[in-house]
Amino acid sequence: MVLLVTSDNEQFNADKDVVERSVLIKNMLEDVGESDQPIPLPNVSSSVLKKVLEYCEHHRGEPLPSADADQSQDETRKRTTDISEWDQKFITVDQEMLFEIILAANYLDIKSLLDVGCKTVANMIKGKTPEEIRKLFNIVNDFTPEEEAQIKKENEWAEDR
Amino acid sequence: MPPGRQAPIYLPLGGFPSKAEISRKVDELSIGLGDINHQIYQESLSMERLIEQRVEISKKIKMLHSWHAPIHGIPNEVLCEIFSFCFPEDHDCVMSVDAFPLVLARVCKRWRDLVFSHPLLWTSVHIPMLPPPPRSDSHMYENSDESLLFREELQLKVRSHLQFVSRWLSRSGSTHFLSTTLSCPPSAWYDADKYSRIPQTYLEFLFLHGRRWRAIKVQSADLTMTDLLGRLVTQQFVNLTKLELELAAPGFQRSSSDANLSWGATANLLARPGIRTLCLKCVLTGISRTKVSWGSLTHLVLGIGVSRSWPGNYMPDGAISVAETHIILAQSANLVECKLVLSEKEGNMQSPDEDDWDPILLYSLVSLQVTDLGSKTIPKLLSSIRAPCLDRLEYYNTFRRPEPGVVAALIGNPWTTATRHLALDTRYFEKKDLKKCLAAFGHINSFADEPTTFRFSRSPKIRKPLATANILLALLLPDKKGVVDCPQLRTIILKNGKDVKDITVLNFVKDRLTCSLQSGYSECTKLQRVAATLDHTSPTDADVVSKARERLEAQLCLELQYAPVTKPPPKNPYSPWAGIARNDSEDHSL
Repeated sequence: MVLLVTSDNEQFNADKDVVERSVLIKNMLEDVGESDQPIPLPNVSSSVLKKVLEYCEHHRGEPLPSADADQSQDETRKRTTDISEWDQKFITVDQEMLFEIILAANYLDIKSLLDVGCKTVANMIKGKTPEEIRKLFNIVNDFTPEEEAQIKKENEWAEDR
Repeated sequence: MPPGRQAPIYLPLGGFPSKAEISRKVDELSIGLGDINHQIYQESLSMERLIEQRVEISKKIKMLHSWHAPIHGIPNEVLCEIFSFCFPEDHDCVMSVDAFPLVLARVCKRWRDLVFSHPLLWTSVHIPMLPPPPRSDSHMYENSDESLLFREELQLKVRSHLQFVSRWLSRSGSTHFLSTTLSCPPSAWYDADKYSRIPQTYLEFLFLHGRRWRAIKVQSADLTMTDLLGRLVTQQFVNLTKLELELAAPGFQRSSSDANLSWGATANLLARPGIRTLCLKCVLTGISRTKVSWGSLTHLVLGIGVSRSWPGNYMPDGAISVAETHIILAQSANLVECKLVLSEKEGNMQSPDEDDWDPILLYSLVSLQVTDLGSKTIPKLLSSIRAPCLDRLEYYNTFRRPEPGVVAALIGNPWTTATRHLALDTRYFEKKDLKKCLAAFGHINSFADEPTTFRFSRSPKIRKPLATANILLALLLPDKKGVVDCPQLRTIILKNGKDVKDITVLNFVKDRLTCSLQSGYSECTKLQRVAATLDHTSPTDADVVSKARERLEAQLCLELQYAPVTKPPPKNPYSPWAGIARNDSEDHSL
């Protein structure tokens, strides 16, 4: 068992093969060796770590994505945004939690979880207008009218004809 | 009198004032009016300033508020990763401000900077060739001066268009994954002699990035563009691994009796040795005689000819004959994924007469999709396939009842026992065929150690959906997983309901019952029938229905949710499943 300590000082006990889905924790455990020392995770809150551990527990034992697989996927460019049924249910959370999970997956280096989060956000973006995207994510349009005009000019060939 | 207000003017008692008196008074009043106008102008200026300030401040407040938005906490590299999942999955990027990636660059400055600085987002582009004027309008350009002027103007437009594409591709840096779709009008549509420079200019543009292209798709109505590409291609496109030709019109269909059957210079293109993925959506007669490196292909799509003038339907002319497919598959030993639209049309290659066709060894084949447009020899082809690693088998039948033996060939092939995902378009199956399929599903599933997907569409031959459901659920329950694609199915009998454990089946049942309860009186009648079947009573009023529902919930260990009815997702018109609801509408009732 491995003891993890979150940013809000909560402690979580988890199996080694569960937490080792995180490359960060796996490397830490390899560096430290056998030890009872808790692993501090200052960038992850308890509520998020709970979700992350739920994901790791469900996917326990599955092969970790290799660097080669990533490369071949990059070559095809058109990456599918299909998400498995369980993952879809798992990631059906509010926007704040979704981005927290993405940040945690990025920090803990859990590629598959990061992909699930990114795909979910990508699916939210797809098919929307810039205004709808701004509204969805609470982003302010910070282009000046002059910049808007310049963008329109640059994209003359891409305007609707 | 309030300050600043002028005294009222009264007509003097002694009569009208003199002209001088009036003009003096008018001058006095005009000065006052000017002062007031000036004051109004000053006030309006300061009002405008205040409005501007207000807009600025509220923008700042809005921006400060938005900084709390969770997306602003996402680092740039993760945001780029998110963007990289926004690629359209089934086509190259369209050059439109409303489509990826340009649409993302219009959201805010940060996104714009990120999108433009991320080369991988610019590696895919659909280039529609600017069309020359149609032949029917050519009389308008017959005057030589006008014609010349028009051609020069068009050439300039083409150059400007390609400059835009060039800017697009320059953002991709030096990445070697470029993918493009080149769509061009049919050469018969315009005067190909006069405007021959136009397609050539586009092809020359492709050669500028020669080594960088990984995937090229040509959408055209004939072979003009691909022939041109085939003639020029010999030294180019050394890294091309994916080639797609989508040639819609059957203008180049040739009969097999034609001794000079040839794919022309397009054959050079097909013969590129590095190609691993080949997708030919066109008339395919004689394709087996071209010098395609079939042995090096891993992904093959043959003959999915979707007619542009007949969207949502397979164009029978786009299919490939079964005999020719047999020859091709026999040479394609390294296939991993294969999609075929098969037909047996007059003029196609004759099928061999032997009872058993030579076996085809496809040890790497993982996924096979067959669309049957009516062929007597499909069972022979399917039986001859030896694919021990086949994981996904899909069979679609768009027009008629399959030939006898198809079902046995599909599910009884001892060489495809690893199949975990089975999709059968069973609309035209006889009841006995359906039973065989369902029984085979159990057989197939027993080899799998992971959940199996089983798609099922009800046959109109089976008039009673109840019977269908019975067969289906009895076989699926309690330990099989299945996705039941039977949208008209409203009435079901659950056998061994207490043993239901599978969440997929439970959800299916739950959705159907919820739907029934919400859809008004007639649907409630059907729910009564469900309840009646469960407890052998004949409920007649709402209370009894309610009790039956409670009993249903208790028996299934399932809570029925009364979520609002949601609009069904739009159907893909190109899906072979698209016509199911339409075709089945005639027999909802028991």
